Amino acid sequence: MTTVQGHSSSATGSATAGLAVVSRTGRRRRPSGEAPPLPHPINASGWFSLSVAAAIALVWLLLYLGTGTSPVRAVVRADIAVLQWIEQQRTDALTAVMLDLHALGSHWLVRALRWGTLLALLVLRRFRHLAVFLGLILAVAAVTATSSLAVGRLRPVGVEILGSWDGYSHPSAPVAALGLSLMGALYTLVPGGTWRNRAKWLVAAPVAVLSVARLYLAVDHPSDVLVGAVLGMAVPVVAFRVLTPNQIFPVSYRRGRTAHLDIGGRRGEAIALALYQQLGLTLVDVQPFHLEGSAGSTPLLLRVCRGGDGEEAQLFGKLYAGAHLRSDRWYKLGRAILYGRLEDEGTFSSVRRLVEYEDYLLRVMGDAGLPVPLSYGFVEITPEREYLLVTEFLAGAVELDAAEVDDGVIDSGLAVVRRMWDAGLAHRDIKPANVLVRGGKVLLIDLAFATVRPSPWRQAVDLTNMMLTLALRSSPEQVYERALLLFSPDDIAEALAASRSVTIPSQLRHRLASDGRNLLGRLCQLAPQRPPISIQRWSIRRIGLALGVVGAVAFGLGLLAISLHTTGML
Amino acid sequence: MTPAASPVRGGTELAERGRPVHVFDPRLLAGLTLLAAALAGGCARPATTMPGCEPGGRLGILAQAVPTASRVPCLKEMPVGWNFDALDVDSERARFWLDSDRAGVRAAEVELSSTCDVGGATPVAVEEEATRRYQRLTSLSPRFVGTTYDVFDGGCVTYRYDLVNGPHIVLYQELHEAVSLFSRHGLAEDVRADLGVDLDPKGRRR
Repeated sequence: MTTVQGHSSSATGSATAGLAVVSRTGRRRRPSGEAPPLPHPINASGWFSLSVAAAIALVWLLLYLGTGTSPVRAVVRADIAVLQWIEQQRTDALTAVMLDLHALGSHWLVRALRWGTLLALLVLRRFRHLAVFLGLILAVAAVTATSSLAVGRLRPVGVEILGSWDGYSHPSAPVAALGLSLMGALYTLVPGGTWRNRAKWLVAAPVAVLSVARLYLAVDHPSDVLVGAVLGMAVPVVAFRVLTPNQIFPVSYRRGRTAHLDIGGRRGEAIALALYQQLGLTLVDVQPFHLEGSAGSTPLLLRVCRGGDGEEAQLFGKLYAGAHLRSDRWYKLGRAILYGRLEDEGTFSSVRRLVEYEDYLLRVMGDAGLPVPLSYGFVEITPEREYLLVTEFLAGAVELDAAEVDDGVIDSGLAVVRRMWDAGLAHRDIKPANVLVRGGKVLLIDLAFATVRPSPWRQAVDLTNMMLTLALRSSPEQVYERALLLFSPDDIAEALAASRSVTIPSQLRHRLASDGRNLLGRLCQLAPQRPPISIQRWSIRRIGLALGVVGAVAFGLGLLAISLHTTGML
Repeated sequence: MTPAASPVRGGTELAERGRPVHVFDPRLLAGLTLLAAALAGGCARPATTMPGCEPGGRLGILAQAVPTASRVPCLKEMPVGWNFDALDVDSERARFWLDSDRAGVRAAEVELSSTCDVGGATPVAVEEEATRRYQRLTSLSPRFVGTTYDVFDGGCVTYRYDLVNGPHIVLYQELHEAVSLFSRHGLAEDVRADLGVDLDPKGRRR
């Protein structure tokens, strides 16, 4: 058996927790040309829709460049023949019905559908779907208007037009607008799978009815309606599948953070395949784990075994995707604008860099003797898009909130900070959810924000947050007294002077608020007095960022308002 | 079942799939499509949508907007300094606007409708046959603002102008020289020759 190289034991004390059953004997290099575990393709129906769209583009080119040529004339004559046949079927009663159904294409109905969808997406905080839908509204309106002007087709001739119309005939703008509005609602609000498949029929019905009504009233040609329907329905299908793939951005109404990825279906299979091929682990089961405690990744509990029938072991996985990378960027941008460049707030350039960094920190901290989980490395799910970091699962450990905290636990927690200081490291996210206790010893998890060679200020903040976290389950006096065994009074005073609400992780801040005791204030009373350390750091970059963001928001809103006005949304 | 073929206990043989890899990002294709659409948009400049004085869809749609009109307004060669701006046509009326480098953006609006109110307007001479022209001026200086009506069988063309600058009389003459009236009969003949059907619907044919 070949065991994991480099880490023969874990600083957490569980030297063989996973290694005894973890081997890499089944690893397999993915040959060139073979797809990754979770490819990012357009499926068959997507390619069909794209092909239809390309065919329409070709037809437009012919119509624009070849008006009067035989093929175009044949299409026009066929259109007219169909409309003349329909005209012969008209009756007064049917005409009255069709005039009523024609209202399905009204601007007001389309506006109501679109605004309803956009507002729902805002409320649901489904911003990517919102942006794609908004972009589609603008793009389809632009393509419809442009092609209409370019082709410049007459309304039907040779038949009596009974309904109202606006502009050139080709393509049918009302059919495209209604189709897009309904498809937008379908792909952004209805969960994929059975529900969406059923709802597709509901969406198709009004578009079909409107199309029939417009043909009956001889407002459009059949080919106008056909192209309008493709623009309004096929194009959104392709766009949503490419830009908001269901595997990565599922539409879901289950409780939980939206940053978490669905691990069922093809992604679940891909995780299994990646673990097997890249780490030689056979996945028995995978379940989400403590989703409520993590917003920056999707935490997973993995049950694996060696080969096909070896002993089972539990591992911990953190699934990272583009959404997490973007969250990290926005978070850091917001902090940079609000407080200046606190420290190392640089963003990661890719998901790969993000997961590489955490893997590296796990190994560095492990090498420094800190009680962190053992890293087994990470596996590639989709190149540059999704990676799974695999670490030891700290079986038997409980969050500090649920642990009995005595002097031994306090000493262990403070010793962790002391060791980080000595090793030139900082965790930067010390809070109850990231401090576990097992056998009276503190373990640190979630090193995504950790850093090597931090500033003295950042190291001081780590101490304050650890003291506050420990004081939540004990008392400030007890924590301060134990801290004096490892830190000088000046060190503690500096740490407390460096703390502000922004330097305290939000979970810890909320716990402090709900605790009722003024823990920070009491610690400050116990420690030597020291003036607060300013955390507001002004720089050209911060000012530029703030102005840039304000300008970009104003420009975006202005552009959006103009676009919405142009497309009839306002 | 070999371990190599079964990363998930009891699952499908995923390792044997060997699916082909896509060598391009689908988003690239979507982006290229949008770019192509944007470039195609460049082909549809306002100038290409101008209702020129020749039979075809650009002029025929105006005739369809007002089925009773025996004539439709069209643009002959544009005088220097004038540009076609935009066309707005629906089942009630048709309008287009002209820009002038001297008189301003949308200095003139030309509207085709079935009727128009010429009350208070003064008859003036016109070269177009079977057409009566009326004019109502509301301001001569500093802006030259007024309305001209060309009334003919079944319809009316209204010219609204607001000439901010420039030699007003010259601009006024250029405007009326640019816009002409095209016979509906000529348009119907073209459609009949091209498609073998009538431009106007049965029962409402002129």
